[in-house]
Amino acid sequence: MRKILVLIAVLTLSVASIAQTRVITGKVTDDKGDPVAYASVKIKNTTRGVSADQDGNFRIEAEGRTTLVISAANFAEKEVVVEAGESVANVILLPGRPSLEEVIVTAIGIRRAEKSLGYATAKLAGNELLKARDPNLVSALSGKVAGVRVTGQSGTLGGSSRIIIRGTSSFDGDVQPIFVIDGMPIFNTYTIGTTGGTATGGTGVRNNVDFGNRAGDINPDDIESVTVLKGASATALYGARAKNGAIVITTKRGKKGSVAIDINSSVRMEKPLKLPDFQNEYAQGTYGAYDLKFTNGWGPKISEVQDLTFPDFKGDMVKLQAYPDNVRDFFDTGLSFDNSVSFAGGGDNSDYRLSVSSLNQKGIIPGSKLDRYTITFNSGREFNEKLSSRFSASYIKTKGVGRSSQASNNANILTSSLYLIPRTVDMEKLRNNYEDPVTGQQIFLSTDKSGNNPFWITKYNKNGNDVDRIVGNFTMTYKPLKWLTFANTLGADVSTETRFYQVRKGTAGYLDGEFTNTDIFARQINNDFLVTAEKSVSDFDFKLIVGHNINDREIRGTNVLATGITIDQLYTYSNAASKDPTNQYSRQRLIGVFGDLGVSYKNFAFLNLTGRNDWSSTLPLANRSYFYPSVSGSLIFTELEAIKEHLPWLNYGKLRASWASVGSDAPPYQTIFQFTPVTTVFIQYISANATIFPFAPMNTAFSGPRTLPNTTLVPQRQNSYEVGTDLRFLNSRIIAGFTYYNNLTKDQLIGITVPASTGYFAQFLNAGSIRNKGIEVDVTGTIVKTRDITWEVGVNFAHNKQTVEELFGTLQEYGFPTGSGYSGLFIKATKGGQFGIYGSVWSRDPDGNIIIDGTSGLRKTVADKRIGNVFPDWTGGINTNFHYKGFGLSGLVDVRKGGVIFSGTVANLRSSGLVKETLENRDRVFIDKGVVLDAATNKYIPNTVPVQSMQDFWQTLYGATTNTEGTVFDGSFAKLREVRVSYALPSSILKKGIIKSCEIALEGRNLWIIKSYIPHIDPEQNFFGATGVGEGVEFNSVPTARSFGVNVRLGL
Amino acid sequence: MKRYNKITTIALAVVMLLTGISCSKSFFTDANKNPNAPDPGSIVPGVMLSTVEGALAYMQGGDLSRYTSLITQQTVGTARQAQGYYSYTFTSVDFDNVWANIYTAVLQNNVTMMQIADAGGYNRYSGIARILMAYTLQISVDAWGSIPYSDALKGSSMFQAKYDTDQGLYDSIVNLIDAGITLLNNPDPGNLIPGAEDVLYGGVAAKWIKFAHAIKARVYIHQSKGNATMANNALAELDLAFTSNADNATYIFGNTETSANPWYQFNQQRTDIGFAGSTFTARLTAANDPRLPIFMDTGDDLLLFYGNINSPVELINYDELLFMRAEAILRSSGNIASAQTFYRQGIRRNMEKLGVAPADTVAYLAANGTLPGTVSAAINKVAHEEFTALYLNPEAWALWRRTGVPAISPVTGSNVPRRLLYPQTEYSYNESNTPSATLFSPKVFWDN
Repeated sequence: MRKILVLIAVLTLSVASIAQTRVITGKVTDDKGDPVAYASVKIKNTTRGVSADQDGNFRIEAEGRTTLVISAANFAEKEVVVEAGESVANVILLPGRPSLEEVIVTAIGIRRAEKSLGYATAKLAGNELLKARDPNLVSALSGKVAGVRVTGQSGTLGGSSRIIIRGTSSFDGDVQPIFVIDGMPIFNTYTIGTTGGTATGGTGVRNNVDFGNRAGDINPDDIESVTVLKGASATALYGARAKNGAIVITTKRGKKGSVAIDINSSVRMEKPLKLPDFQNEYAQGTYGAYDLKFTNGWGPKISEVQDLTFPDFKGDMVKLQAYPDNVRDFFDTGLSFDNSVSFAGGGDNSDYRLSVSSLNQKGIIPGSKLDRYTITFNSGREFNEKLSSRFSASYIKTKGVGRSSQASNNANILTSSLYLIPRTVDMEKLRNNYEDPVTGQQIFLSTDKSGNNPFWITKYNKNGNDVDRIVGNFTMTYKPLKWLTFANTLGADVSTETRFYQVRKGTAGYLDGEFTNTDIFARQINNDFLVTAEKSVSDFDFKLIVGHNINDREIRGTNVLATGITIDQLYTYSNAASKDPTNQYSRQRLIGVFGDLGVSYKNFAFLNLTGRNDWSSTLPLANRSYFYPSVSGSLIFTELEAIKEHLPWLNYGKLRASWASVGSDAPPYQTIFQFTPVTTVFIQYISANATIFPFAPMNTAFSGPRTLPNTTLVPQRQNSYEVGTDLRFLNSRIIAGFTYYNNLTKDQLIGITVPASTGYFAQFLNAGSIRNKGIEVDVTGTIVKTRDITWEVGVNFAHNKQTVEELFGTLQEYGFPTGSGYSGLFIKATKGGQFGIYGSVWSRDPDGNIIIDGTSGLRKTVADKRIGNVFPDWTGGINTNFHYKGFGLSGLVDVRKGGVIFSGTVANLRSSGLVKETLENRDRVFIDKGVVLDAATNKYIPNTVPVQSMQDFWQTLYGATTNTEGTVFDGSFAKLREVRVSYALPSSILKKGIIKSCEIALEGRNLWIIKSYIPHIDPEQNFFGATGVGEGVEFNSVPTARSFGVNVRLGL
Repeated sequence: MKRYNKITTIALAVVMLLTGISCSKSFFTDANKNPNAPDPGSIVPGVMLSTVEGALAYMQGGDLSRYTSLITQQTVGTARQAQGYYSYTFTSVDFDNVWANIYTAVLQNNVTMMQIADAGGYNRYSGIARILMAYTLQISVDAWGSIPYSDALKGSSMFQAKYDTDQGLYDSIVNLIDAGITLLNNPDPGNLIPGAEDVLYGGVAAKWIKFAHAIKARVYIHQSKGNATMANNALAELDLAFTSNADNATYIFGNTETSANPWYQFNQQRTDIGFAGSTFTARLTAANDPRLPIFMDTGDDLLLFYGNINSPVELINYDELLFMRAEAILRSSGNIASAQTFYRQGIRRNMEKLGVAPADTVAYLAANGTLPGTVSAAINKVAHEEFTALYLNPEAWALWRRTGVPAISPVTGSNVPRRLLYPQTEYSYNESNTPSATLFSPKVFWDN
């Protein structure tokens, strides 16, 4: 690597050039003669440009015959040719959308005209991400792009979001797209698959704590635009790492000729979005008798025992009384401050932009906090006509505290500790009595001390993480000849993350106290070297790119579990009775060479061919090299005279088609038989992924692998094609895009479960293929457009159908581990179908009636049946923008249709008798609707056997560990995601002051669940984390929040 | 022009350098070598022995002990899954974990150790590996009957292992033990003797040989019902097995949370299983048994002797062998007086091990130390005491199946499980070979 740097330095020094220049001046106005302030004026095919001032005047240096490209917001881009002798150019811009000549940043940072692309892309302006923003960039993409599905994982502050483009194509956890900033691939998630256990970084839920996804570190204020590359043809040049699509981020730069200071500040408040619909009639107990041991709602009816007193959790004798808002009262009002300031400017040959931002959030969960600070610098310099460079770097600090444990099998889980509080508990009393003031011991809610007091958890048992990260890259571009460019981009993403879990002594489940510290170091270095040659031959333009890529990813981790705390609340290793350190390590390297040939004919027919060969360190030597090609083309058919003549209302039409075959490599170390050190950890339930089991007082011990390695792995393949069209009607009043795609991912690299009698859990091999096909539609219409009013409505829609075409051999099903605490709940891939949720269902007779047990009166169940699809049938978004003079109103609705979700939270609430629906039939004899088998006739007859107790009914049929079907719901929903009302002060007011622009807005995010089929919880929660392949399972997720507040943007 | 030449040269140099990196083999092989994982050639059998013994003790003292003690009502399931198990609501999925632990953590690691030891001529390790294999098979066959063995543990060369018959597996166990004893008696050409990494016996061959005979004695006593030959076989093995509590095959767990006894770990995490409310406790209370307060704190429902952080998990004890000898004598010669000697010794050694005050032992023996006058009543009484001595040991369930002692009245239904279910993973991934089974049939071959 050092040698490359030296060579780049040499390249940097070996340049000099002088050219003849003159100054062109001019003024930019609209069609009514009013000046257009701050329009961008660029010299075509260069990176040189200036901004006009507020009166539309500009001044730019150029040599010879020059084409200027002038653009401004809400105006159509315009090109003006200035002859060699001329030095004045006045420009009139017409209102309209940005030009069709829009440039899209594609794979490896290659910029292409939108019309030349043979595949679907979506470009979002940075502004779109700032509207009623979500601090997490990934969440901010939700509902905005057809075929891009974003799911939040939990309500954890700084929690993770999962993004799936065009369906899940893989059996392993690697289903997320690659994130690229200014050409540098960055970590969104990282996994260390190694010795002594597996550590996962930024993957969302690990140890049942949501640590966020690392793309959430990016400050949305720094983003100029985001391009979503959806298909394999779009990402073919990235190869393996982008098989799930790519999110290509371009950061903001300083504009030449102007100095701009931008300030963007928001203050937001947060409240829980959805809390359970509790009953308020019954106290805690069992079968109608009050009992402090049970934190539930199966005790006596409160109204019927008003003449009696009972002991409460503190031992006081009280008259029972329901506290309808006790759970709501637990939450704080969240508060967040989001501030960013940027300084940008530039001269003729250089530009810079520096931004500083801070995000300080206090969550709805008491004690939860998230602080993020970023400093970003981006600067470019043109040394001369031929040599230029650009440097950009960000330092990010993210610190989150109070990330609650989720899921099950952990006494420290907040949601179950909170939601299962009996209805008769006064939250204020609990808030003031969770710790004995004398002994410092926890005051438990139940007499058997089986669960923890939620205030104890939030006060003393904190989980958090602290990330320090630097992402940066440096590009040198050398253009020795007009048609030839050399460019090299070297970048790095280096981060350290410390995670901690602390459990105070006296916590149920961890009476001796414990803590875990995990230190993770992640580094990715990437170098791209590109040679670009462009040549025109009569009507044909050729562009050839040859490139080379080196990528090195290294992750190291140290995990220390310390148990048995001596001095209370002192979390140091020397204060712990036992310490169990584990090392984690993972490294993989990839080298690629690639070529890309683009041909265009008269600027309306385009053909593009790419090829890339990769060498990967993770595959067996013999199979480590693999090649993959792609071909794509587009035709602007509205350029054809016949079309122009007959379809005058169609002002733009493009047909596009592409095909690609992409290969990808394996995770590290899957080809070697590895012995792993045995550490200890209580792990009651194990899976193929766990390499740990407990052992005793001991010496060094090693275990063989649990997954059989495979020395004959070959690269995985994804073959895909897509066709589509982009159309603009009625002078671009209506813009529409349609795409059909079909991807087949085969020879997948997966650990296929083998019977344990082989001595192993799984074998790593090439098996299985998944097809995803679907359609995507984007339509935007400008419904009203006058001088003062614009109103746009955009709709996007995506339908994806996943089919598991092949599994291994005769295997019909492939199950994903879900962990324990479930009634045999599984996510399974079934041959010929989609990924589905499996579990126990009601037993039904041939006519579909539910079969009732003739003794208990309860429904009978059968295990291991398919309940529904994990993935939705379709997803969509509706957005609208309305402007009247300085006023603006925008909104976004997110829609999901189909798929099912299992909710462990709902199961707990129901089996505990705490929610409204469990009130039904408590006071009377209940005979469930169904049939019983008549022993005499061996026929099913209508049921007449009553249920003994509604407590039995709910506990047996709706418990998380007893039945699945009762707690599986339709996952469809519609959500009001964003609303923003803004007012921009007219420039006439601002004219005299130093403030050039000022906008004030009221905004809200995740405001309203318009429709959902899941009671008690937000439908958008997922237990598996961002990288897990599974979806559709929720278990004690931290509740989500709605937020609303004020946003002020100032331009100086 | 000159400048262009220079630049072209530099550009070419860059391309060649980059290409050079891609051709360099070490750029990849270095990356695909995990610095934290040992070179397979450097693995010595000692680091595997620790693993196998730990995994075996954790498996037996964990899932297997919980399941069997709930079945035999030595414990009570009070919540969640344990509550279901207590009323004999098991599904195949419940056994995925314990089965996988047996085959992967215990047996596969044991096979790997055996292969390394056999190849290196480390006879001590080779012998120990066979005895551990025999013991693990014995407790597994007693739980499931037919299980995969001859086709099993072969990795990718055999994915669909057939199930060997339980009776045939008992023969395999005997063969493994005989081979193990021979190896332990042979010199050790590899000159590598286990030490502290052998938590059970510190590498002492004589103790392993006694343990081997104790396993064989169990194998024979299981088949001794109505079979005097088997009872005599058991007696012959018992002559060569343990001679004092010092020979006990006991795995003692560590003093830290992370090396803790599995019962301790379970009880720390959950309160799903109770002890004070069990029929076992009721029986000990009625007999005024001095061991009860040593086993548990009935007031706070805490498990004591077997539930501390560093409590032992016992594979086979001398006291069990003494009761076994009493039973074998009764079944072969019917000599009640002779049997009584060993019966009383069994109680004594058990109480000694548990630390019962000598006076309490004397008092207990005075009240309970005499066997009744008929052989069947005597076997019944021996079995009662042995059941107490086998508290939380899966062998207690085998004892109940052989003797019907003590009587168990199920919480629901009328049948007590006679075997465990095969795990769901076997039905899913080895469907053609996995027999169908319920908790009640087919019974293990010796259970009749």
